[in-house]
Amino acid sequence: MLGQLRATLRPRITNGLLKHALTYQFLANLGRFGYSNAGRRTQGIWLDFTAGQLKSAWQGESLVVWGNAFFPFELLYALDVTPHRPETMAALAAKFGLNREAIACAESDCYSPDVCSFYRCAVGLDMEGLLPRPDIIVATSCLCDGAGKVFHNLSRQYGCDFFLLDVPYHDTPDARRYLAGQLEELTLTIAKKQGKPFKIDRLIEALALSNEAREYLIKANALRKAVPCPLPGGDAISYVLDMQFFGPGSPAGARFFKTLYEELRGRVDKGRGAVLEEKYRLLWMHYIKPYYPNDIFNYLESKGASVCFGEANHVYWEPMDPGRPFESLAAKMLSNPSVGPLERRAGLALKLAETYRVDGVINFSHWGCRQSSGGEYVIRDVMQKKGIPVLILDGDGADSRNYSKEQTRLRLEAFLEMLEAKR
Amino acid sequence: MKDNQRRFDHVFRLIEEFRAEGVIFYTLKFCDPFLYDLPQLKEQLAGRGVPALVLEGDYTPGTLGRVRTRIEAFIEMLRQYARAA
Ligand code: SF4
Repeated sequence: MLGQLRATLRPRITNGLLKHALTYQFLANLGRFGYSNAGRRTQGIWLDFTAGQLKSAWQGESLVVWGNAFFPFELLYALDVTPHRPETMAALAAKFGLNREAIACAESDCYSPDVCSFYRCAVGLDMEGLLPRPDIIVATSCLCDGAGKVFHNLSRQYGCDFFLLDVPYHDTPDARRYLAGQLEELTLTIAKKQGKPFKIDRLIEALALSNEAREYLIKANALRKAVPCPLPGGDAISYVLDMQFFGPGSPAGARFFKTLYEELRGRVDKGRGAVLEEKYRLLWMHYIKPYYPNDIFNYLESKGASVCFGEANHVYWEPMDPGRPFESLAAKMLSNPSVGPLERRAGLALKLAETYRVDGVINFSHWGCRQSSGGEYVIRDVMQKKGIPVLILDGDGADSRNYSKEQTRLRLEAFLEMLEAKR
Repeated sequence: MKDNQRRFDHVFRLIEEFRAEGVIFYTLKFCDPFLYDLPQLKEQLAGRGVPALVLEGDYTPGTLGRVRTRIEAFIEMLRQYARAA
């Protein structure tokens, strides 16, 4: 009886809490004061930033624009709309145990268990009424087909405008012009919908903030060459990466990366790291990791293995030229090594392995991610030719049903033994 | 790729042209472009009262037995529809 009551009430309470402005006010304050005082300033900035956007989106303070991770959010900050990040919500749902129900919801609506769990989870959260209503949805055709398809489906559901940025495969001057044209047209279209003229100065400001974030991210990344590596690999692919996707162009983004640099500088000076006695340094390939409770990173760290860098944190783009804002954003998008021929990504993997002096590579094979899994054996061969061992670790970023603690441990254990034997 | 409604409208035209009473979606496992169309297409077909069956295959004979059973059940359902009409 009591269990039944709890089961009925729990979703209602969660639902109510997640939609309430006070929840976000509390979380923002926690980020601003609680975390800073506890010496976790970067996490605090991220929490404040995320909670602020959610509060604004639920209250409909300005046009709510949903976008995917590879969309240039600088544009949204320049437009003063409220950005919303369904992929972040999926990762957070996984972290807080809301993923299973959300995924079950999406699958009951005919979303196949073989498509990316981040999208299944986001669709399910939306079906449960846990995402704020969008006015506009934007997506990019890279890195995967899923973003365009899912975001378009969701826009139909809401009857709102949907814009897909068509990102060409090859990075050529023509491709940059073509993409810059789309970015400009999209910006003007959104401004028109807002009913106010677009101010180019705001975009110039956003690019300056984005450049500032970039500078500090480069400096922070350089510190990760230190032994021991000052940033835990799990943090780098969670809130740091989230800020890298969605923060650039906002004041919080610039502040975040400056603070990250300062925190890491302090740790390096004191010789602190996630793993004190670093026995093995590892490179993580993929933009994601599992976000539900799991022991991958803890286990690695307990064995002296530090994930000292990941391809996701690499700064591949040049500083942007505020005099040519749309072209600069197009150049940033097209210079992503995961866009275009696989040789670019494989070449980057090799370069990172050498720069960060890693002993091995973990290529996370996220179930349902075609863009990544299609290339993993090519990358493994490229690495192995240089004598760098690669573990292709099957798993899932948001669907915990595809995670087996024992199997994952066995594979990690065998990989570490192999690294040990190679010494 | 972008506007899948074009594909859906094409499916509806084919249904009319060939007087189809049901639709079988056969998708190859892991084929994102088709898999992501299913929720919308199924919903629109349901709105028009057209029964649909989703089959996922992987070009191996392993699934044939199950596919056969599901097709038989689908045909039986279509028969019942026809009788009731
Ligand atoms: S994990 Fe892969 S499939 Fe999922 S959104 Fe990212 S690129 Fe697309």
